Amino acid sequence: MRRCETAGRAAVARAQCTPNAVVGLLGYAEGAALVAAGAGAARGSVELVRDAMQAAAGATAPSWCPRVASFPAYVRPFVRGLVRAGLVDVAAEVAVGMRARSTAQLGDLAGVAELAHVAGVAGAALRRRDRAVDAHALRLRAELAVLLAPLGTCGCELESP
Amino acid sequence: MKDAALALTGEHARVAIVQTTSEAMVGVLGYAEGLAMLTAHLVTVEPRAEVRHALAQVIAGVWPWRPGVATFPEHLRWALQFETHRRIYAIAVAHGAAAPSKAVLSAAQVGDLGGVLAAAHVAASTLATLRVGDRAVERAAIVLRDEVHATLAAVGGERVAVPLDQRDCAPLMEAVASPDADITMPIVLFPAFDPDVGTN
Repeated sequence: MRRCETAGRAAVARAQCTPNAVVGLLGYAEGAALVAAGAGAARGSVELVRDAMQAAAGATAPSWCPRVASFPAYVRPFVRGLVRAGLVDVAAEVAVGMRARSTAQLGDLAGVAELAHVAGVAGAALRRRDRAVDAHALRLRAELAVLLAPLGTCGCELESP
Repeated sequence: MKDAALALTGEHARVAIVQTTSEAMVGVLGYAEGLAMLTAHLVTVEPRAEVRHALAQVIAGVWPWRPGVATFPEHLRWALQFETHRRIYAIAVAHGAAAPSKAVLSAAQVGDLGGVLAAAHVAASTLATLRVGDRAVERAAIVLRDEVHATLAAVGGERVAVPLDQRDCAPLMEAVASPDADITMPIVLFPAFDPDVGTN
C-alpha cells in the first residue's frame, strides 16, 4: 500500500485559511452555535472554530490530505460534529431529568441538528461582508501557527496504481 | 399599530380556514420553532404561543392579510418573522444599541443582529420542511389547526365552518386568486381533535 507523502501540511493549511475562508468558518460556527444555544448547549463561535481547527489538525482517522480538500472545508464537519456532540449531551441530560428541554424546541433532536447545519451554511454566506466578523477572523488567523502545528507530513493511504 | 380597516374580515376568515390545514400548520410550527431556536439566546419563546400571537396580530390588522397575495399559513409565517424582528430589535434598543440591526448581544454572535435574523429566516424555512413526519410536531399542528379554526370562526361574529373534505373546498381555494369573490358555500365543522385518542 502506498502512502501520501505531502510534506509541510501546516504551511499549506495556513495558506488556505484566507480571511474569507476563516470568515466562512466563523459564520458557519455562529449559525450552528446560535441553534445550539437555543437548545441549551451554548458555546462561543470563535471558541468553536478554534476547537474544531485543533481537532482537525490532530485528527488521524482520516487525517487531512491537501490533495482531497482544502483545510477550511475539512474543518467545517468538525464544527458540525462539536455542535452535534453538545446537542447530544443536552439531550442525554434531558432524558435523565437533569434539565428541562428547551421551550423553543418542538420536534426531535435530528431536526435541531439539521437546523444548526442549515443556519451555519446560511451564516457562512451572510457573513462575507460583515466587518465585525472580519476582526474575529484576523484574530483567529494570528493563532494559526499554534493551532496547525500538529500537521506534519501527510500519511494517508493512497489507492494502488 | 392596530387598524380596524385592515382587520381580517369574516369573508377572508372563511378562506383562511380552508387554507389552514394540519399540513400547512406543520410548516408554520416548524418555521416558528426555527425562529425560536435561533433567537433563544436572546429571548425564550414557545413556538405555539408565537403562532397564536401572530394570528391575533393578523386578525387585528397589524399585519393585514389579503388572500390574493399569499395563502393564510404563508402569511402567518411572515407575521411570525415580522414579530420576531420587532421583538429582537426592541431588545437591542433596550441594550442601548443605536443601530439595532448592527448590535451584537451574545457570545455566540460574531456578526451583526441583522445577519442573525436573516440566517434565522433561512434556517427556519428549512425546518418547516424538515418537521414533516415528526410526530410531535404533527400532533401539535393538528391541535393548533383546530384552535386557529375556532379563532377564525369567531371573526365577524358569524358561524364559519370548516370543510370536512378538501374536495368540497375547490371553489373556495379558487377564490384565493380573487379576493373579491363571494364565498358563501355551506361548510361543516371538523370534529374536535383529542390527542389522547390520537384520531381526528
